[in-house]
Amino acid sequence: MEQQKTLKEIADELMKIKGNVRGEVMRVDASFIREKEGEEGISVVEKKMEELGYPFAFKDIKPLSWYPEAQSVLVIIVAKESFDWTESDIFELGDYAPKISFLSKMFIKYFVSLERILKESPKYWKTHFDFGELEPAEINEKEKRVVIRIKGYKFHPIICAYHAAYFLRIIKSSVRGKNHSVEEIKCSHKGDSYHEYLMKWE
Amino acid sequence: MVKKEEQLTTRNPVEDLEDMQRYIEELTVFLPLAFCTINPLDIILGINQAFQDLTGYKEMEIIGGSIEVLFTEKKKISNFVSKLSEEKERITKEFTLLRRDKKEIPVSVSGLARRDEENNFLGYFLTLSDVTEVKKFQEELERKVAEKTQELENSRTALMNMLEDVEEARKKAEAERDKTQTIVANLTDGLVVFDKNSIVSLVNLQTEDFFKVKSKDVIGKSIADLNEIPGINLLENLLGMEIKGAYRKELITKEGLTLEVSAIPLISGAEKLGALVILHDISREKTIEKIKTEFVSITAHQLRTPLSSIKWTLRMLLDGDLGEITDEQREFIEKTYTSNEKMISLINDLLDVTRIEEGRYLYRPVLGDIEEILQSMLASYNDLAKARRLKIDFKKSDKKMSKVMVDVEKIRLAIQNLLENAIRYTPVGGTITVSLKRDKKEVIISIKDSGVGIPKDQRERVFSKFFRATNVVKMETEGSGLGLFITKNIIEAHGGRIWFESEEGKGANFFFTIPIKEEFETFIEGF
Repeated sequence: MEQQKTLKEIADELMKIKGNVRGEVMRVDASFIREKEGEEGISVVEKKMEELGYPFAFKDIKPLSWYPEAQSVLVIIVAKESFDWTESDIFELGDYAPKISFLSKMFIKYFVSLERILKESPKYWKTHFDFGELEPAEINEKEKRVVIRIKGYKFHPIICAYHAAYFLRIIKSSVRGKNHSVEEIKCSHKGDSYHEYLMKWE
Repeated sequence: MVKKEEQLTTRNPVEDLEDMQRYIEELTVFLPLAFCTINPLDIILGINQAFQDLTGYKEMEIIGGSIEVLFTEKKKISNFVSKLSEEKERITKEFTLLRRDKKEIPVSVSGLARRDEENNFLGYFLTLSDVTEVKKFQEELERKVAEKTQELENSRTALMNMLEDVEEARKKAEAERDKTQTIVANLTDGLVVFDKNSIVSLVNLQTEDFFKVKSKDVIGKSIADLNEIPGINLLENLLGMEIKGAYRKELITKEGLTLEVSAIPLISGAEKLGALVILHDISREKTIEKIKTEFVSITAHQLRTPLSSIKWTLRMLLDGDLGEITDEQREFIEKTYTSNEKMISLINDLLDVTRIEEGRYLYRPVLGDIEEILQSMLASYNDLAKARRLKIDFKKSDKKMSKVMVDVEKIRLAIQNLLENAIRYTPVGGTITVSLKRDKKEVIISIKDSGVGIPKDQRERVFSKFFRATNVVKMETEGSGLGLFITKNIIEAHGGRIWFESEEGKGANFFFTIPIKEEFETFIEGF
């Protein structure tokens, strides 16, 4: 029945969910929109956000300030709606984010081994969000698989693809191999109490 | 101010971090050098704007990719980054960058490993510099160096050839010099060479022999210095301080040798190189000439006495002092008398010549009137001219004629020779014109005839002894060929000059000059 909700209704519901994210995440979103849709795409999103009653300007966002995660998620939903993006585009955004993000560059020194990254991942999460948590549920280098778990995060299913791509990019950058893949094996939006992502490679 | 300080102390670390982030972002965009951050798996984690410009890749396209994608030399870049992990210093190597558009460009890649506090390898930085222009410059430079090397090689070859030619030319020059030295050394004439500063630079063996000197004592000496060296000092007296023009003089050495000294300035273009003095031993010729002259003199004297006796005997016969003679006898005796007169004239000429050659042709100059002398000479030839139906004109200048210092007897002889030639070689009915002019320094006499003239090819020998032109030999057998020789010596002994103009078949015009009294005295002082 959710598909029948208007964007305004979705926005209003979303904006009620508490939790903040660093402005850098929204700046990366803006960069992606600019790459794909040009500067005009930014205006389109900003105008739509204003129409929905949640106006803001990307240029005013400071990378380390806290902003509602709901607003960040709504930007992605608005962009998808405005530019007819598919889940593949959202996946691309998730892949793009760690490449560009200033915050990810701050952690670049940990991108030296899988073990090190996973050890630092809870801290990495806390750098981005002031709620929820991320934990490595399974590390098995021998079998070439890792499971990541996100707890306390439930905004919108669109973000599942985003996070999947994000984690896959991190794994690709940290583990030698080929045919890296990701799969969301548990999802808060599907009745699970948390999100869980399985990453594998050959 | 206090408020501002409070602001500074109360600043949020997040703001500082954001400022730092902004600074890094701006710096990254500004930096013209392409750089990237690579993790230990050789995965590109970060790039700047210059990197995007150089490679053609956008951030989202290349970040997360392998560094090997960027280069054509896969193994070489792999070895390079592998070595980076072991090194502490920066390493630089050249690679070929494979741009996104597949264009290949040469780049200089510098890498430096990143390590944490515990020295764990975190990856590395790479910078890429486009060295296309440097390469082009280098290639151009190498091409130019190769060209220049080739040019130098060619020049070296040419130089070697030239050196060979020069060596060959040097050998030839040395051979030529040796030959010349041999010729000079063995020359029967003496040679003395002066440089442009009149310093003796060469003396040959013959010169050493002539003056009994050694060349080492003479070479390097100036003409003036030669005066200090016995023997060759005579040469200095003759040459003077400097040889300016070509001339020929005679010199008698202490040993009694007679040398004909010829001095010739050596000139190349406008530059004076020095002078050459040639010493030719003419002692033998002089001796022969002296013997010959003495012989002729004695013979002439011996002949003149009997010829005078014959003359007076024939004269007595013709005058009837020895009795009556028939017409036939008279005719024979007159012919004999005329022939005897010619013989006497010839003997007199020969005696004059011997006196000239012995330097004994001394004369007694007196102040004389040349016009008067000429008038009397012309008068004496009137009858002969009429007999040959020749017209004799006398033209004289309106100017008052100066008196001149002359030996009247000798100058009459000179005029006589010229007049007799004019009468003798002018056909019947011709004209002889005698002119007298004067200028500031001399009187000028000319005797012009309308006779046979002098062939062009024989004019140089006109004043030589025994010369008779081929055209007059055919028409007139009389004449000894000594007249003009004697005349020239007489005129020159007076300080005058003699010359002629002639056209064969149309006549000849002989000129001679005699200096006026003042010039004559100057001339005499010269001796």
